[in-house]
Amino acid sequence: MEMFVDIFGGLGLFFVGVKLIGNNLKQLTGSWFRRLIEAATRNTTVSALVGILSGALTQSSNAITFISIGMVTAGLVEVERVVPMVIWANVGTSALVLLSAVDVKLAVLFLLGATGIAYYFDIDKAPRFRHLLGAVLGLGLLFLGLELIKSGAMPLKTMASVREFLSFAASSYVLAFLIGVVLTIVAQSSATVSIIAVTMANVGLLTIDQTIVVVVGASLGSGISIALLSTNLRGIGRQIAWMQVAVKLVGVVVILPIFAVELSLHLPGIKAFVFMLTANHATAVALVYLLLQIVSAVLTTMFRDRIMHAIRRLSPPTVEEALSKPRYIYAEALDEPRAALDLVEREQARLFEFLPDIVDAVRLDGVSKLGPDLLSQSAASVARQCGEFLTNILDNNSARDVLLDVVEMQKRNEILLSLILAVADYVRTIKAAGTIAAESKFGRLLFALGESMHTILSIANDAFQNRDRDDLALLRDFTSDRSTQMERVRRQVMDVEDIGPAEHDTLYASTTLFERTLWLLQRYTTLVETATQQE
Amino acid sequence: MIELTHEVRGDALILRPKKRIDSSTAKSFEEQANVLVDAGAKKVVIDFSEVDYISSAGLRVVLTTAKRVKAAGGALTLSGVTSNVKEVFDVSGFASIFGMHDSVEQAISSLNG
Repeated sequence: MEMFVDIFGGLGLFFVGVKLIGNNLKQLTGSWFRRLIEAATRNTTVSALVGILSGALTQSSNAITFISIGMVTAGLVEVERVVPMVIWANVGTSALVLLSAVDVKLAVLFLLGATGIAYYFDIDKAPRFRHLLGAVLGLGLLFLGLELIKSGAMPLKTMASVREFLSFAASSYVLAFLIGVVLTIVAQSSATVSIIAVTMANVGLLTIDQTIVVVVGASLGSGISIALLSTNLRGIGRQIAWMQVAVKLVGVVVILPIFAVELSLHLPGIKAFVFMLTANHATAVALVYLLLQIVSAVLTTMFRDRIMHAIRRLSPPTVEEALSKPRYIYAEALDEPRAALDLVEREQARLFEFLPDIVDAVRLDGVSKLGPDLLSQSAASVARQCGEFLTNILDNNSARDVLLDVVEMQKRNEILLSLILAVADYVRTIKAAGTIAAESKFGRLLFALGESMHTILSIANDAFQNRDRDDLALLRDFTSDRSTQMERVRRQVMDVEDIGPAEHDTLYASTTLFERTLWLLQRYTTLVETATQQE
Repeated sequence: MIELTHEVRGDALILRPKKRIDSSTAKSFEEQANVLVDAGAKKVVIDFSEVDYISSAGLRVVLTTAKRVKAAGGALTLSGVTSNVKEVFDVSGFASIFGMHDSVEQAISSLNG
């Protein structure tokens, strides 16, 4: 009984350790990880190295895959640029598997002691050290858990029932493979399952052959797990997830037949290769895990373009992703700040094309077939990407004239983003109001607001595309202060018609949002006019 | 296809669209108006007394016509706007920018003034 409690407690400590490491390192890596990804995306080799490092730190290729999906869907990096990182993250996860094969008991106890003292002296209260300390504690608990499992499992190999089960498992490699698959789907980490398998091999509970099959099965399980987790994804997000699935599959498809031939025909293969490097069984299994990851990564990298081509056909970008993709700005342009600023200006001007189409959703005469939420979210996404791009220009340059221009462009960008949100809010307000009699005073006002907003936004689109001084001056006239006018039209509706509380809210919200839209347009126009005059 | 009549009174061109100016009729209004304006009109009045519906597409055609007249050194104003479409001209700012007059005569005299 004590033996099972030891194993159970060890597993508990192990899982707490895995969680602590992952959660704390993700917090720790928050801001720098983002910058790291941006820097890494410029070069395939660096991207692959960052993948290995991130995989080693987070011990989860799933985490790297889904963080990358988040970065790409947020529009921070291109899908092609994160792919090497996603592929090579698997190699990084080998670090802990290799460590688990080494006797690190003394080092673990020392680590836990030092961490405990640090907690006693409240070092964890300092924001700089909190997550680092949490991650170190996690590492200590993880290995302590493994030690408990090792010592608890030691008597198992002498038990008759266990011997019978293991000999049954050994008789069927399919069963061992399935155990690896299923355990990984449950544990969500092939590294975790492989570490447990290595620990079992260490105490002689699993044979070397069984353990290798479990490790290969774990890789397939990890692929299945990612495929399952990505079922709710579409477009580019799914492309990245499927790339990770492809990495896992490639490894299994290559390594498993080689190992099968080695076992059945007694020819030298993977096992022979790792035993050339070490005589220790546990280390040999850890090396198989590493080999599996390297083979997968190398082959996937070699055929990356073909694999990506097939994945793109299976999961093309969604309409939103296509719309949310900047047309002009791109990372390499950051090297030339003046050209980069011009590109931002063109990108911002392009976003004005979206605005009349958003209003189309509440117009009888509307022609846009795309929904207002899709359009406004896509436009807002591109505007945010412009904001990030401007921040990057600031980070890369210190010339005073560039800084001043970037600040001006940032002001415009903030106004543009507010403008997109105001137009979207206006449309949402009108849609939520439902049907209001067109012939009523209120109905006529809503019609006038919608047509006027569409007209003025179309005029703005023309003016910012052409940057013609007369058009900009005309736009300034159209966007003059409307507070008095809106107050008057509200009173006219309330004087003539007895409207209910819901209609009252709609009346105020729609007129206020119309007024705000024009005010924001006026501010944007003034900034563009000033810049045009300076030119 | 929009029904558009016109009249030349002195040196002023009066355009009289009828019924609706929306996305289905705006283009034909623009084409016909362009031909008339390009003939050399410097003072243009658009009389809306027979228009009972105008959408954004119609407003934009009014604007492009006004820009065309202005480019030729002339001016454009509006007249006879019915109660059905008055609100659209008011809220959009067209009324204050181009001027809105009760009658064609008032509109012409504003252009002469």
